[in-house]
Amino acid sequence: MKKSLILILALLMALGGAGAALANPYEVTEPITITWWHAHEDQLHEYMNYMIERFHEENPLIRVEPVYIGSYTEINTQLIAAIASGDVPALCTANTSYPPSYGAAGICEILDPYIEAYNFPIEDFGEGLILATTYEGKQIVLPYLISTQVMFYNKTAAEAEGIEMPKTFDQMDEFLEKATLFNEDGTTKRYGTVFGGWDYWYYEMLFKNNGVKVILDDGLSTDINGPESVYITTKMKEWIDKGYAYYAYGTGASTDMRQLFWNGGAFSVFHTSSLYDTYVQNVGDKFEVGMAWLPGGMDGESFYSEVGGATILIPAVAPQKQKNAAWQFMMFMASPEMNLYWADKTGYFPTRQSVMGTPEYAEYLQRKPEMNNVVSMGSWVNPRNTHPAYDTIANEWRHALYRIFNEDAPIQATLDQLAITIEEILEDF
Amino acid sequence: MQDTLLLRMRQAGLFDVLTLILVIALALLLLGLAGVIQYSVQMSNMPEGLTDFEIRESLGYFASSRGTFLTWGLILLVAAAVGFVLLAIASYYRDKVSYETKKKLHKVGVVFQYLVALALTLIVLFPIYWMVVSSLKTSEELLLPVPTLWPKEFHWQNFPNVWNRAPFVRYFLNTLITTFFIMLGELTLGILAAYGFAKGSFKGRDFMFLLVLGALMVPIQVTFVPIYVMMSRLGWINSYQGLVVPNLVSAYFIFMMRQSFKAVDDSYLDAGRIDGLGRIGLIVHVLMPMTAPTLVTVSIITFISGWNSYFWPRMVSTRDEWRTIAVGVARLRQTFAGMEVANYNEIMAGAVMAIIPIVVLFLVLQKYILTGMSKAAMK
Amino acid sequence: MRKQDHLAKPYPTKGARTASAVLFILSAIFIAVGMYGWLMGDWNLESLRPISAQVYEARRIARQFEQPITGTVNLGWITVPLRLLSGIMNNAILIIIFGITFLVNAIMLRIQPWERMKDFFCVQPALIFFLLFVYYPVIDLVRISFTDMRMLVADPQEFIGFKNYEWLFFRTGWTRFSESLLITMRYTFWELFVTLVGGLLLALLYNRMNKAFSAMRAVVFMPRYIAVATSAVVFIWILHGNYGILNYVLSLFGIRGPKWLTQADTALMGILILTTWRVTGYAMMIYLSAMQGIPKDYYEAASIDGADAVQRFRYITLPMLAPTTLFLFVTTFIASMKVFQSVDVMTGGGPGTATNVMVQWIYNLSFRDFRAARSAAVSVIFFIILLVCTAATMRWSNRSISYDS
Repeated sequence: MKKSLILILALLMALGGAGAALANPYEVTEPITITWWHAHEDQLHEYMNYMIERFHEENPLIRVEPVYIGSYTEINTQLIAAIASGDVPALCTANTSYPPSYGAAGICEILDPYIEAYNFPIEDFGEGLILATTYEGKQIVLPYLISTQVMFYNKTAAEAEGIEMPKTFDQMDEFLEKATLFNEDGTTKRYGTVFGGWDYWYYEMLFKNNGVKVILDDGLSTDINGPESVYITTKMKEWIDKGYAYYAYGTGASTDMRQLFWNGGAFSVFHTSSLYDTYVQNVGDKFEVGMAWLPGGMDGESFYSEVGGATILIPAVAPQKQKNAAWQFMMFMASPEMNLYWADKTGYFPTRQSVMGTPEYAEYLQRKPEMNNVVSMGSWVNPRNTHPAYDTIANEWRHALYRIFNEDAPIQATLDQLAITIEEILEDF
Repeated sequence: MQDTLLLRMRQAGLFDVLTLILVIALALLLLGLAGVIQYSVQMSNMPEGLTDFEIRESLGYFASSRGTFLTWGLILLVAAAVGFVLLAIASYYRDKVSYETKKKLHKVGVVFQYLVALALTLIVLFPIYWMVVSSLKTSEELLLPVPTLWPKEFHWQNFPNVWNRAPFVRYFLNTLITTFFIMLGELTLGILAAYGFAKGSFKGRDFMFLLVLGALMVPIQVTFVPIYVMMSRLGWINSYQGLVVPNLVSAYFIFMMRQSFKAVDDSYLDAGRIDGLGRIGLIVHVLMPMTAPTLVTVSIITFISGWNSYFWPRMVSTRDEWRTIAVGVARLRQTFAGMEVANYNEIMAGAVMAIIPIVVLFLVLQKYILTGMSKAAMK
Repeated sequence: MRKQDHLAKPYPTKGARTASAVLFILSAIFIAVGMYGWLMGDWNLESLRPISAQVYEARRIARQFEQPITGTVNLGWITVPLRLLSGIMNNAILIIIFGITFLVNAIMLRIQPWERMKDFFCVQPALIFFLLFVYYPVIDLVRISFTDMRMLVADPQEFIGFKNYEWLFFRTGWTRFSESLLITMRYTFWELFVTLVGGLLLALLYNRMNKAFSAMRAVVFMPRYIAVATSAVVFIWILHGNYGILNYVLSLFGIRGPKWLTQADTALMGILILTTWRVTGYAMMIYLSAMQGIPKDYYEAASIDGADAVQRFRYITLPMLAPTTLFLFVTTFIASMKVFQSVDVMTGGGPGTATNVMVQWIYNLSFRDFRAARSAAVSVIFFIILLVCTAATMRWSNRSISYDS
């Protein structure tokens, strides 16, 4: 009797084992705590914690611990260092500019098997976003907080002084002339606009909508010193020299620019739609904040902008259990409900197409009429440049622009020098 | 005998100094003149249609610096002239002036010295003062176009705020533990080694001491990348071992202590041996007491540099919980994510908390630090 | 009285001989095993790659499933657990250094008596430390500079010969290098100027020996003992373009202050302001204590001869301070070339590359651009420059020290 019992037990165990093998290898089966490295500013912590609490309610086995690391660049540095030392978090936020280089270096866990195992509706994000978050066809990150470049402006002053936001690049001259106010001694009292110089994302569309490609199709040469690029650079320099604008560059440039706008020292600034709520809160009663799409190309036909904001990834070298738990959280974060929640609370906009048809969405748009300006142009949002070296190249470009704008370096010569540097970098890759 | 004015002026030491300044001024003016000449020559040969920047770049060194040379030359010339005039006046009246007047002038000089010294001291003190004052202001007061010298109201909240924002307790703890173990290691291993090199006699001793000297030449700023890789392989990034171990022995410490130990006469050691002391006993009961001042000074300096260390902890501690005080405070700006301008009051509060221990230590132990420095200067 | 009088035993004793033999064997094993691991891991030798690949794969699996490394590898004549091999590869250097230690001890045991060996034991820990953390890193630095190591991917590195040096001297690396060197030189020059001239002037100003002056000196001297990083943060606030107190004070005089740290032409100046605040007090104290050591009779003799204050200073104080000046020069020169903390906190090398001192550039290359190999090449060259400068200044100071007359 005992023998047969043992035999039956053994059979059951074998079956159970086989069953276990068939079960989902990405399932979370025991309690686990995972770390999430993020770069979200203070203002967003409340919403983040709300989201995490909701997740805890729905997933009792998993606990998520958010850790604020720093800015996007800082988190990039830390992630690389962590991977080098083997001590990685389960989840990491990354700015939309990093996925291409991460994909090339094999940093991220490929998400396709997880998507398949859980039937995650990845197509809901739309072609553009999918393109922006894949590398060589494989899904490496999930988009969760998407924003785009916008111009914030003083709507109250615009209406009072009859200033219209420029729709295309050639309208900038007239716009800046009207929008800039000068003191008696000739110094600028109120800048027409401020060009963001601490991240190339803020000004590159001015170039790209006017025909500049930066990295040409052959992947080895650049048109950064070509006639279009020179023209745009010359116009920008002209405006800066006349005192209509300045190039916000260096440590603290972002915070200084915001403060300037809030204090009325600038009529408009180039910034990111995600900070819409921050701007509104900090301006308070002083004036109304308007949000406008970037000026398009001079041909009147190119109004492209690039996707910005945060994506989320799982480091490939993390242990499997952590990856499984991390995926659960990722799915939750990218769910339509959370999508709309974030959009509502901040200036990030909803990314899932299934959200856009819901009544809650319509209501959200009613509460934030300025978002209409952005959302209506949604089809113009493109993925960022996917060349793995683009980030390095664009930063070199940014420094070169600093020399041109702030140190009076000659435009053509500097851009020529830049072209050589860029081509060398491209060679390396 | 009447000395001429010039002769009397020549007797003054200031005369030579003024002459030197005059010579330098003339030299600078000459250089400026050369610059002007080069400038006009180059400008007349300059091809058409160049932008300002290109013109500037193509000018020779003298041409482009002609302004600086001329300005400084002129300034020094004027200074020398004024100096000569004053010297002439002083020399003329030197004998004509009574003893009392001289004494009065001397007193004026002393007062002047006190005033200048006080002014400079206040200027040096100002950054610390400003740090403390800023740490007590509210954000609005911080950003006023006309800064206030004294906070309108004491916003003590900044301190608990920044305490919550960054793990200051961990920072202090990490710094304490790291510094403690570094000092332990440096003192024990360092004193042992210093004894061995100073009073020990084994073959190859002097050759091995060259190794120590060589280590003095190799700075951490050069070796930090391989050491970082080593730490990362051992898994010691973000750990106490990683923070402490690469600093366990200091070549400088060994060098200094060896000097002091060598200065102790051998007869003391022999006396100790007769009393039955072994090596450790000799070190502890003979050498250390006799070199106590140097030991104390070097230890204090080791402690302070360990407490203040930024370079190595910055590499090894990437996670916030493992940072030391200096790194933590420096990184405070990053935690404000774009809003730092309005929050410098909290950043300053963090700085205040970081600095207080050292300032207190310094005020208490100045004497030792000073004596140690004068010894170092006498090497 | 020869030291040997109290050393009783003749050498080497039988015990020492056996111990020495054992140590020789141990050292041979350790060095051999260590070299093997080192060649596989760090040098990534082509012929050993099949084996090291197995180790990397085993590590990856272990990490993914959070288990210890399992499996064995067949080395032909012996089968080794992968865990052991991985440990050897990771700690190769430690093993080699242990081997070297055994070797040295083995040799020492044979050539001197036990008593003297004990002295040697006193210095051994320190020497091992230096081998590990000073000399090995230098060798590794040179090795890395010949590879294409990046901090980005955890894969083993490839040998690429002199390519990094080629980049440094003949391609874009050269512009950056010469620029960085120039900036470092400018910084060093000004720090030297401030230390020597400023320190001397302050020493003359604060030379009264009463309580008030003592207190004032303590204040002026204190900044040096405050962490560089923390004082840098304070100065960032003071030097802030829009809200800093310095620009406000300047505006009271009608001068429009520049945006110090965010403007290329004034960034280095801003950092130098911090440096001045820190070092001048220290130099002052050094000069003062040296001045205390000048015999008062020199001054008395001189005033009897009719020398006034300025002349006394020129002909007595300055020459007697020459050794101190030299000391300050040598120490400041070398130390300021290695500047990093103030630059890293205040500007991180920017704006652009305006304050990109050598160490900052080396740091950025490895921790921001992740090109560890390039940063190693730059480090090697920088190190050579430092050595040459140290040797030169040492030579000069030995030759021109003036003696009491």
